[in-house]
Parts: sequence; C-alpha cells; structure tokens
Amino acid sequence: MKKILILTIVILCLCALNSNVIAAPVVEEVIINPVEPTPSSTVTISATITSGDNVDKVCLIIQECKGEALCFLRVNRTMSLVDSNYQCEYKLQHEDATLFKYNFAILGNGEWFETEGTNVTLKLDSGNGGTNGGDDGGSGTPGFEFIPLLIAIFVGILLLKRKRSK
Amino acid sequence: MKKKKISLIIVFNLLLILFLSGCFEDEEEGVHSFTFTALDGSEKHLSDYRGKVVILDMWATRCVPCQFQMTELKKIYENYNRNDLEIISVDVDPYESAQLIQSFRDLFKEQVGIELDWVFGMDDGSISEKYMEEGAIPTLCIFDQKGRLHFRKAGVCVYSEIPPGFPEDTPLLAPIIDEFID
Repeated sequence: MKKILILTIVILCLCALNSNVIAAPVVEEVIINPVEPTPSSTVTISATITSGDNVDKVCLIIQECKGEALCFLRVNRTMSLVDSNYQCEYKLQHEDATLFKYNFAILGNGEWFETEGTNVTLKLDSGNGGTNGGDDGGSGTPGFEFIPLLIAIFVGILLLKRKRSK
Repeated sequence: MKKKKISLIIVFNLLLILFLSGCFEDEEEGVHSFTFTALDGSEKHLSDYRGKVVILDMWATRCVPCQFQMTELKKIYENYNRNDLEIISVDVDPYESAQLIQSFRDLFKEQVGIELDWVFGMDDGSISEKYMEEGAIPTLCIFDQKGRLHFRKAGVCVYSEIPPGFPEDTPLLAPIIDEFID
C-alpha cells in the first residue's frame, strides 16, 4: 500500500513537471536609433527577445510625455521580425514632448506579457540661445543715424531761405 | 386708431418673443452631457450627478502625472461633502480594461496608502474626443451643479498648494470649486 502511494505521488510530481509552464519572454537587448532622438523625429527601436515558447507577436508601446505634468495617450505598434530582431520605426508625434516611454507587449502561447517601461529623454534643440547680439555702444538705438541727416536738411533749408531773402 | 392697434400688436409680439426666448435659453444653453461605462459595466451619464459639482478626470493607469493627479483628487474628495461634489475618473486609454483599472486602484491603496474611492469608468472615445486636446492626459474638467463646463485643463492641477518643484502656474482647483460650493 505504501509503495503504491509513493509511486502515485512520484507519478503526479512528474506530470506536474512536464506540464506546460509558461515562461515569461525575456527582452535581452534594445537598440534605439538615433541614440539621442529629438522631438518629432523618427525613432527605430530594435529588440532581441528570447522565449522558451513561440513568440507569436510583439508590440511596441510608446507614450510621449511633456515633463512631469502631462503625457499623451499610449500608441501601440506591431513590430516586425528582421534578422531575429524585432524592429519598429515610429515617428514621434509631439514637438513639445521632453521624453518618451516604451515597453513591449509580447504574445506567446496565447498569453500576453507586458514588460516594464523605460524612459528615453529627448534631446531638445538649444533654440535661439541667448540674446540677439550684444550691446555695441549704442549702435542699436533706433533712429540714431537719421538725426544728423535731419540736422543737415534743416540747415540746408535755412541757408536757402537766407539766399532768397538776400 | 388703426395705426395704434397695429403698433400695439407689434409691441406685444416683440415682448412675447423676448419672454419665450428667455424661458428656454437658461434650460439648455451650456449644459453638457457625456456617457461613460462604470467598472461594473453599467452606463452612466453626467446628468446622473445633477445637483453636484463634477470633476471629470481623464487619465490612464500608465501615465505618471495622472497617478500624481490622483493624490490631489483625493484631497479634494476629502474636503467636500458627498452631496456637493463628485469626481469621475474616466480611463481614456482604449487598451485598458475595467480589470486593469481595479487592479490599479488596489495597488494604489496598497503601495501609496490612498483609497481611490470615487467614481471610476471607461471611455468609448466620445469623452476624449469632446474634452481632450491632442490626447494629453491628465485632462481635468469641472462642471457646475447644472452640468455647465467652467474649467478645462490638460496637465497636472493641484488642490490648494503647489508642491515644491512644480511650476508656479500650476492651476489651483480649490478657488474654482469654491465658487460653486458654499
């Protein structure tokens, strides 16, 4: 009796071990091109994904944010398998975004796994940067050059009047 | 005599028109309506909360500013009577489900220690289309007791105090709400 009981337990354990345990896929490497993307630019994201089971589909989920006060709705894009890497090209939508977050949704064995998000800070243009020129000794005073011209015209008119009166 | 009668009739008609336009104008002008699906699957409307100031919070679980916004909404919820104010947080991300939202609420309570005990629901796209600009979240709207819109802002708003590190022009909600609630 004891032997039968032990045998049953062993068989059950073996069955449990052999049952389909779904392992979460692993994202091994992610490459973002360009390395320092700017707002509204096109970004290519490549990911190496390994899984003990078949990977049926990989989606890239991107969310752009503007500082810490505001984000935009997430966008979901299906990635293509290119040379054993999953790849997606995406044009950032918001010119005032300061960063974007991405993560992956992976479909394997009929089940979706979603990875943790990663932030990518966008490189902002320096813009005009600083003032428009320096102060060069008053040359920026509007109308400055016209004053001597006006004086000359006035003097000329006075001289003409004197000549006529003579 | 005839002229007097005609002029009296004209004046009377003008007064009648003015009176009637005044009767109908206040009832419908500026009153908003929207519909959302509560987490239990039931359909809810803004009009269900008539008589209360309603704060409509458009958000998504994976939006970090929206998560901060929840802490400020909690301050508001605790400072006003349930009969005077209601908050409706509508998830506008089409990829998020009622189950996910409920999990978020449970996790928020567990990790942040704040119970998000106001109304939560999901949008079918109509709310985001009507009240959001460029899909920016969080976006807050404030409706008065009659359902008229008085405030709409994309980005984080705070209850009464701007936390350190936040921009000085971060909107304060208390003065706006207090206009409608004694």
